[in-house]
Amino acid sequence: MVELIGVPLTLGSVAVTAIEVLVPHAITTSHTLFAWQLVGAIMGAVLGYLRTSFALLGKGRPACLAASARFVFVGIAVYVLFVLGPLVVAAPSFAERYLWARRIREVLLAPVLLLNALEFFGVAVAAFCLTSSIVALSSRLADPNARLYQRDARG
Amino acid sequence: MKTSLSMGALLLASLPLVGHAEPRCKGDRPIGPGITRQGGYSFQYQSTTRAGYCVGYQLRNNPGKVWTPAIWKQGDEILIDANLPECAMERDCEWVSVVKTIADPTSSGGTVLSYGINKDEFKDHPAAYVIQPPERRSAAVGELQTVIEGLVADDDHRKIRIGVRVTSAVKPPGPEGYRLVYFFERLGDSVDLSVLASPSENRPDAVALVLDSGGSEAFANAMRKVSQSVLTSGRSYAQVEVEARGLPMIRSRLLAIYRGSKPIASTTARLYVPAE
Repeated sequence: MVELIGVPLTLGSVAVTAIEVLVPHAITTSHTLFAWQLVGAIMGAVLGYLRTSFALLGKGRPACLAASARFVFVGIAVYVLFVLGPLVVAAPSFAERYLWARRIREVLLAPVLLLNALEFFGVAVAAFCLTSSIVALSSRLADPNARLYQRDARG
Repeated sequence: MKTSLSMGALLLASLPLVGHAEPRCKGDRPIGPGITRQGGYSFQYQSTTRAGYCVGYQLRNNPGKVWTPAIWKQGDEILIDANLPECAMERDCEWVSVVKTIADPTSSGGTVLSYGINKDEFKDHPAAYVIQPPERRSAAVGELQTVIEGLVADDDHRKIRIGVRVTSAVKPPGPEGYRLVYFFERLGDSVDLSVLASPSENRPDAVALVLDSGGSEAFANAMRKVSQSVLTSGRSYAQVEVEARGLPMIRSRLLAIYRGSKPIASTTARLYVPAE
């Protein structure tokens, strides 16, 4: 699979996953929450890498590029709404300024498991989408036979 | 010496514990109050002691600050674990405090104060009075009392005023051995609360006190005997006795107050327990 997608894109997927987990750490330093995010990111990234590879294999370059764009859009939206958003609202300095934020914070932190689970699924879905968007950029994945044609042409 | 236990659990609804004395500890040598400020949170902490006889820990949110989950520990011992309620700007915020009478000397040492999301978002290391580990046999060191009182908040951010005192004492040995006495008392204008053997027995919105048995079957059986007692303003105490053949031991047990099945405050209490 790595040979099909390519080492640079594979490393790119790993880097994006790592960034996804490290960025929230700038907002909250809870080790428990970090663990939930890390597990979610790894699961989402692995699933995205494998599932998208099989789904887009041989679909052609235009289809893969379109899929990549969709995945980027969804991944970023999910990340902002369900990963960064709750952490910003739960931060005391933000909640103190706005009553609506305080009410949302109360809901988020009422059972502490809610925020942990939300972050887990948010990071997992975002990692799935962003990893898929990188995997979809692989030209070899889009048309695996193209290498064979080139080899044959070179003789 | 193998200790065989016979259980005698008495619920004395109208008589106080024989020989029970008024609380003897008002900590008057404070370390603090200090303030911890990280990540937008800000609250005060303080530790007090009286001549190595008792030790107290207090936490209080600062004006204008939101609901703050916090836990203060010394090693494995929980000093205070509570949610500090949101405090309005114009009102003075109230302390939540724990006081423990102790048989061992105190000293000033390091503790860990963690707070925020999952109670591990931020950490501080305030100096406070610390207690020596209690693991030893002793039947003659007087009553051991643990008090939790003050204003806390549950997971739904509702403010709850609590006040409980748990007293553990040993009566002089008789023909059948020692009698360990546990006395539960509601203090001041605390909410009514039940004494339960397990938080799973608690009703969804009710407040209950649960003392961990620590795996001791005799202790668990004793707690079941007094289970479902409700401490109110009209009947503010409950008592249970356990007979023990051998010298009792002093152990740490988690004393927790629950609303429904969720803890709203807890601390580690020193108790006499049967040697098993």
